[in-house]
Amino acid sequence: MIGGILAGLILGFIPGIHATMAIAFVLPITFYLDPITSLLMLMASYKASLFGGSISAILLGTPGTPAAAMTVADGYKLAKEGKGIKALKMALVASVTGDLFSDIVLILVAVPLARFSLKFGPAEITMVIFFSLTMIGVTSGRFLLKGLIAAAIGLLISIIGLDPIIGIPRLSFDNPNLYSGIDLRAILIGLMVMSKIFIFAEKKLVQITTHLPAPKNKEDTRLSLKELSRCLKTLFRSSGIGTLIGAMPGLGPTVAAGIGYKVAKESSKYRNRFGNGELEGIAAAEAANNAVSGANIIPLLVLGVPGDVTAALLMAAFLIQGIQPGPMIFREHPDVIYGIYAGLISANIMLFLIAYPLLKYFAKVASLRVGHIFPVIMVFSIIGAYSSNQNWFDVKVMLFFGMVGYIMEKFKFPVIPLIIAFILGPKLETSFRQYLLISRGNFLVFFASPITIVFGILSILSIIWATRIIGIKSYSKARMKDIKSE
Amino acid sequence: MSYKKTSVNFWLGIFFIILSLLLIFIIIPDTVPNVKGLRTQPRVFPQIFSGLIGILGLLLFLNNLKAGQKFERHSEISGKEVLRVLFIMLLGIAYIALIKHIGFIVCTVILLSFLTSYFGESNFKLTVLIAICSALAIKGLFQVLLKINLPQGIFF
Repeated sequence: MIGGILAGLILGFIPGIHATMAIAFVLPITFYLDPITSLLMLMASYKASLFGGSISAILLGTPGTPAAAMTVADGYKLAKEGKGIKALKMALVASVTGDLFSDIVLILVAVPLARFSLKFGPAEITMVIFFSLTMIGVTSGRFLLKGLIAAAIGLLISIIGLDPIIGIPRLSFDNPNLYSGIDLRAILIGLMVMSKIFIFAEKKLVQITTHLPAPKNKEDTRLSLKELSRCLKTLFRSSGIGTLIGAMPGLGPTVAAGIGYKVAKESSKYRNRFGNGELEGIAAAEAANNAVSGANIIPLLVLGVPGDVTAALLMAAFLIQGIQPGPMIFREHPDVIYGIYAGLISANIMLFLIAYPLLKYFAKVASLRVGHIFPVIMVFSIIGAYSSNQNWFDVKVMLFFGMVGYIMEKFKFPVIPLIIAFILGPKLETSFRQYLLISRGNFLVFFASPITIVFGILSILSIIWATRIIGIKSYSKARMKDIKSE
Repeated sequence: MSYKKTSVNFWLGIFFIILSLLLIFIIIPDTVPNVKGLRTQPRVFPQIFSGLIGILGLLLFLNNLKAGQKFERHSEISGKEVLRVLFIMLLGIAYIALIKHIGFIVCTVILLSFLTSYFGESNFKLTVLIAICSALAIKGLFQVLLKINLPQGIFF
C-alpha cells in the first residue's frame, strides 16, 4: 500500500499522467500479489495520484490529472502569494475527507444493493451493460460520435479469441497468440501509458518550470482551525456530490470536481474570491474529485459492471486474480470484500500520514525534468507488458495499441470508451447469448422484465440527452458564426 | 445549404464505412466459420459490432456535410512530430529485438541514456547514472521482488 501511495503521488504529480494511467502503470506489479494486496495497491495508487495531480496544479499551475484542473485557479494563485503549503494542506485534507466519505458510503450501501441485484438475470445484465456503454459514450462530450465509434471498436476487439459458448477461434487470423484474445494488460498499458509517451516524444518536452516566492510568515504555511471550519460545510457537500457522481457510470472525478466547485461557488459567502486564491474553492474541487474513488466501486461490486475506466482497471485486477466481481462476491469471497473495506479506510489514513510530511519538499520543487522520467516509464511499460505472460507478442500488442492511442488522440477519439467497451464486451455477449438460449431466440431483451425496460429507457434518454446537448452547442456556435459574418 | 470543404472527419467517416463493409463481407466470413445447428452463430456479434462501426461512420460522414457543424479543430499534425514518434516506436522494437540477445541491463542502460539525451538532457554523466540506477531498480523490482525472470542475453 505504501508503494502504491508513493507511486501514485509521483505519477499524479507529473503533468500529462492521469490517475487512471497511474493505475495502468502499477497494474503489472500487482499480478503477483494476493488479491487483497493487489486491489489495495491499485486503489491506493489511484487515490494518491488524484492528490498528486493537485500538487502539480498548485505548485506548477499545470494539473497533473484532468480532475485537478479546477484546483489550478485558486491553488496556483495562493502558491504565487507564497501560500503554496497552505493550499497543499487544504487539498490533502479535502482529498482525504472526500475519500473517507465515499468509502463509508460504499461500505454501507454495497450489501443491500447487492442483495437487490441478485434478481438480475442475463437479460438485466445485458441492459445494464448497454446502459453503461451509452453513458460512457455520452461522457465523450462533443466528441459523442467518436466516443461511440471508439466503444464499437472496443467491442469488436473484445471478441477476438475463442467463442465463449462453443470455443471456436474468431478473428484470430490463425495466430495461436490470439486464441485467448488480446491481453488486457497489454492493451491497457499501450492505450493509457505508451500513447502518452508518444505524445511527449512528439513535443520533446523536457522541463516544466515555475518560480514561486517563499512564504512571508508562518501563517502562510499553516492551515488554521478557523480556515478549516469555514470550509467544513463545503467539504461535506462536495464529498456528497463526488460520491453521487462516482456511483453513476461514466462520469468520473473531472465531472465531480467541476460540479462540486460550481455548487460551492454559488453557495459561498466568498464567491467573488473563487478563482483568486480562495481555500474553499480548493476544498470543493478536491473533496469532490476524490470522493469518486470509493463510490465508483459500487456498480463494480454490486453489478459486476465497471462504471468508468478506473473501475474497469480494478475489474481487470479482480479477473486476473480469478475473482468475478458482482453480487456473488459477497457470498463467495467475503474475506476479500472486508479486506478491501478495511484497506480503503487505511489507505486514506496512510495517504495523509505519508503525504503530509512530504508537502514541504514538494513545495521546493521549482522544476520538473520530465526528460528523465518518460524513458523510465517506457521501459517499465515494456517490461510490464512482457511480465504478464512472459510473451514478447504482448509487448508488440502493447506498442501497437500505443500507436493506436496516439492516433486516436490526434484525431480526437476518446480512448476511455474503447477500454471500457473492451472490458465489457465479452460479458455483454455472454449474457445476451445466455438470454437468447433461455428465451429461445427472442431478441427483444428490452422487454424481458421491468428492470430491463427501466435500463432500456435510461439508455435511450442518455443518448437523447447527449445529442441534445451536442445539438444545442453546435447550433449556438453556428448561429454565432452567422451573426458575425452578417 | 452550402457544403463545407471536406475535413478529416469526412474521410474518417468513409474509412469506417469501408472498414465495416470489409469486416462484414470479407474478414469475418473468412475468419469465423459457421456452425451447423446453432441458433446464434459465432459470426453474429462480430457482424453486429462491425455494422455498428459502419453506421456510426456514416453518421460521422453525414454530420460533416451539415452546415455549421465544423466547430471542431483537429490537432495540427506535423511531419516532424510524426517522425519523432515513429523513431521512438522503432527504438522500442529494436529494444525488444536486442534484449533477448544482449541482456536486460545493458540494453536498458543504452536505451535510457539514448532516450534521455534525445529528450534534451545535456548532463551525460547524470543521464548514464540515472539510467544504470533505473535499470537496476526495475530488475530488482521484477526479478527479486516479483520473481519474474527477465531476459539474460550474453551479458546481464
